[in-house]
Amino acid sequence: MTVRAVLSEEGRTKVLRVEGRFDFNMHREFREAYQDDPPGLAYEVDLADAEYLDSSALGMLLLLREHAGGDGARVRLRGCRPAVRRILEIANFHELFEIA
Amino acid sequence: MPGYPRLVHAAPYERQAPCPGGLQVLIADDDPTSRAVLRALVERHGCTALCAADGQEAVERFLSEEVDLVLLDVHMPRLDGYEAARRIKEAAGERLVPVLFLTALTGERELVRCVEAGGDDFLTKPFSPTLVEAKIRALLRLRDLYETVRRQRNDLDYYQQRMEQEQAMAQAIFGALVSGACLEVPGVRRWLRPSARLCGDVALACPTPDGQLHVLVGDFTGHGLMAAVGTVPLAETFSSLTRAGAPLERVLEELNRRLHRLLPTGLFCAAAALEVDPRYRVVRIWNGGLPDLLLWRPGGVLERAPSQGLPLGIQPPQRFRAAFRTVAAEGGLRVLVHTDGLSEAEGPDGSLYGEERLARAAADGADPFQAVLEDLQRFLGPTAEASDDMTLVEVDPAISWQDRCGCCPKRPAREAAEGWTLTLELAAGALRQADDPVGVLLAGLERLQPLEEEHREPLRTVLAELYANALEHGVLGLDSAWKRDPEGFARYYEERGRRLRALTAGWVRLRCRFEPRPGGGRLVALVEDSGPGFEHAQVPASGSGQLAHGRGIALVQGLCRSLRYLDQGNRAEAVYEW
Repeated sequence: MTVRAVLSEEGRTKVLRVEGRFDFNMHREFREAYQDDPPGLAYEVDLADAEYLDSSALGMLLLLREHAGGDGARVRLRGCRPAVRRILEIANFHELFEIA
Repeated sequence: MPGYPRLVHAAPYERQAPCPGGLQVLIADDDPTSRAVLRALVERHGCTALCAADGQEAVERFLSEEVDLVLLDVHMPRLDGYEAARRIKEAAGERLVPVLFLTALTGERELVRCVEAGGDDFLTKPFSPTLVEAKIRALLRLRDLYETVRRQRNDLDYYQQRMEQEQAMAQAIFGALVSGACLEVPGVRRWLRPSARLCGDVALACPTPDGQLHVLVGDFTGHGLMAAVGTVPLAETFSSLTRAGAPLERVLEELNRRLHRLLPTGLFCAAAALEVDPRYRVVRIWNGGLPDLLLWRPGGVLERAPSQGLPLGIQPPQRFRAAFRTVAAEGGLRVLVHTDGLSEAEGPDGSLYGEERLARAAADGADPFQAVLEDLQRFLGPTAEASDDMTLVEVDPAISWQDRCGCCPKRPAREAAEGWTLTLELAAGALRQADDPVGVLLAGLERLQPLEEEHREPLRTVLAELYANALEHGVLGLDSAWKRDPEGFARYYEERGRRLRALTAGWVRLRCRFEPRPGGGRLVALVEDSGPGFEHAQVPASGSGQLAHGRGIALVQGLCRSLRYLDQGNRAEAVYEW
């Protein structure tokens, strides 16, 4: 389980790619992947290789959104498999994130 | 001045007043002069006079008219006064129609004959009008008093009859409500003798979906209607929870909670409960306020299971704890339960039957149930009346009830055979070391019941969230409110690791029960922990909002058919269906 962070060429969007179980064990790594970023950055969380997502992962996504500017943040969740998408829907995350 | 006063409450409905002006007085005398004098006297006071010249005529007029008072000469042709009085009294039946004899005789014997013939008083001729008038008044007063008493007695009879009718109806209704549990279960013998129509003793048996048997014997304080009222919620709760698969401690907790809420102080239910588990061949016993249960084994070996807790309905729910005793259901064990109405039954000489005599009778012979009943019958004698409800129940755990209980809705045998329960218990050491206990459990589940891809992930989420809550909040005592900000979030999980590494006590139990359904199945996940629980009444219906914590429950609710917290909140039960 890892988080790979890649900054886009224009330097305006950061892609966080989560691999393996996305649960509380990842909290430190996930946070470290963005906490030193300057404000105003857009984010994409790539969940295509996330095999599982729990409620603490939802909490981590919310903390990322807050870091990126709260209601003005641009955070996109992409590559969601059906099971992951369902969990995001139950949590009403489509109101807070752009889910691709 | 009106005539003789009439008491207003003198049963007016029994007599159609034939003379609205007053009462009817029958005058029987063969002497026309006497008749005329008496008629004038009676009519002066607003009464109607009916005259007869002899006894025969007097009886005939009495039979054809409504007569309130009879003045009767002793010596008359055709029928004398004595015989006329006798016939008139006989015809009057229950009604008091005073008879006043008028006689020229003064001998004691004649006067005694007057009274013996049914006369209420007598007057000697020649009589004074004043005296006649006074006697008439006195007799009418007596008659009114008698009528009042008779009417009150009739009212009482009426109320008594009505109460009996109502009780019979209540008995039928109570019977129907209480029989929600199974009445005839093989292996359970019951003998119940109510002291009144409605009974405050109750004996219930009901199988659980897991193939155990729950038995409950209860004795409400008092007897009759007051005691019977509580049996309805008791029976209803017992059978519905047992059928839903609740373990016996949970059933007892709920019974206590309901009775505590419903019953006024002073009304409660002493009870004993048994859970027979044929797979492990054990009987779990709880006794809250009943006389010692007798554990009988062939050869007269008796053990006692005394009361170890308070009766149901006394303690507030948060203080109620059911302590069980577990007994091996082997060696021909039978469990005898009785209520104190039986051990305190009174014999003809006023002595009590007593628990010692009961135990001796049970030990004596091969059939303790029958032995006790026969001995009790000998003790009570043939005509004994019960002063309290009496119950004797025998449970023979070796007899299989599962295929033969006629009361329960039959479940297809194949389905019961395919269901299973998988339990994973983690004590402190295992909690410290377990890498992914939910993964282990899921792997086990899948070995027993292959899961479609679309259900594997949701089930993992459900189990993982419930496990995380049990471990983090229940065992480790972490407060999820810390996760409100990034620093707290990190601190929460660091603290989680620190506390888990130092953990020496506590446990989490994950129990999954699978029941096949047409084309799918149902998984009931029960996750329990050793923690103190929490105020689960405050769990929000769904976790929306933007807080970084408190989403686990909402996720489980969203994925499951139902989620509920039991007891103090340290048991969560989620039902997942597909």
